[in-house]
Amino acid sequence: MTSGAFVDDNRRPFDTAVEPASSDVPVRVGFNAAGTGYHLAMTDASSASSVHAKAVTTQITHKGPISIVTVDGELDISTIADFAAAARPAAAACNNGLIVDLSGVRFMSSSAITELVRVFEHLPDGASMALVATTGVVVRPVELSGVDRVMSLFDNTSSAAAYIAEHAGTPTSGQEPTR
Amino acid sequence: MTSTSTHSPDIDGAEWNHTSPATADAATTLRRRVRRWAETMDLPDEVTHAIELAGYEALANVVEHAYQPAGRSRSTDGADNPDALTVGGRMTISARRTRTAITVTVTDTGVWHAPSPTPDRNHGLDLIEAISDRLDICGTDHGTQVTIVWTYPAPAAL
Repeated sequence: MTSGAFVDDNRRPFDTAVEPASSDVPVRVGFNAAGTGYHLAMTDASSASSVHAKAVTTQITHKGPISIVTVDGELDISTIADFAAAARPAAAACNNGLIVDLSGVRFMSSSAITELVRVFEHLPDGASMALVATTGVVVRPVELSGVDRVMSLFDNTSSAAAYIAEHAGTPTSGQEPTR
Repeated sequence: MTSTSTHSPDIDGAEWNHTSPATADAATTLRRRVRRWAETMDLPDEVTHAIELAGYEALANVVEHAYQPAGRSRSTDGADNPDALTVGGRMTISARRTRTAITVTVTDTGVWHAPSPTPDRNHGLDLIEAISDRLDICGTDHGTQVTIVWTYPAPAAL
């Protein structure tokens, strides 16, 4: 994982790994409705102190070839490093895809949106990512950011798993022999 | 450093404010407190959440951008590194309700360090703008004040 600036500003954050949910629309993530472009302008959250570390818990489970990160608690700049420490490796190690279940999240700041993009960027080629959320506290920032156009949002894990399974139908994860 | 006024929520002008060190943990604590303040106002859940989230984003901005991180103020000869003077800065959040609006302000005494490489874009501020009726940012050499407003009768918090 890199430190410092999260995103090279000259490159679109989502042009790898997975097609956006609606591929005919340019992917643009950001809270500005006018959409002048997406820039991740957050500092590295890893320096946040740990007094509130217990304010969030993460659990990794597996459903066949799909990995699930279940998050409970509050995602803000005090806790985001803990989430990152669990979710980034889970993304990197998953097979078909990753579900981030945010049903148990009671608060989510923009730093969590930024981190979800980071997690997405850790996915292996051919894997996809889906979010599960049921409350406005999570759905609102996710939808306002537009990040749900890249990692689809569902209200239950079964639908999210079906989405990932569907998108894992093509063997894009293996390198095709060149000859 | 701490002053709270807990007028009856039914009285116009109910106001609350708190000052803390500009740290991530303090931002979390202040977020929870401003939510509790908002919860006394009998507002729609969406507005209460918008107040908590927008206030927090402004506080997080102070934590992340207003003051030079201590680890970076490594002037060898010490004395006249202007950034070093702002280490250990503070932030203040206030929330006020009047007959026509709810106003949350977050102030600091630092100078925002532009998040490179896009000094004019900020994810958190965009989110504040999206969930409030008005966002004003007033920055001077002596500090920055972020003012977030939700107006009655129909706060545009979604």
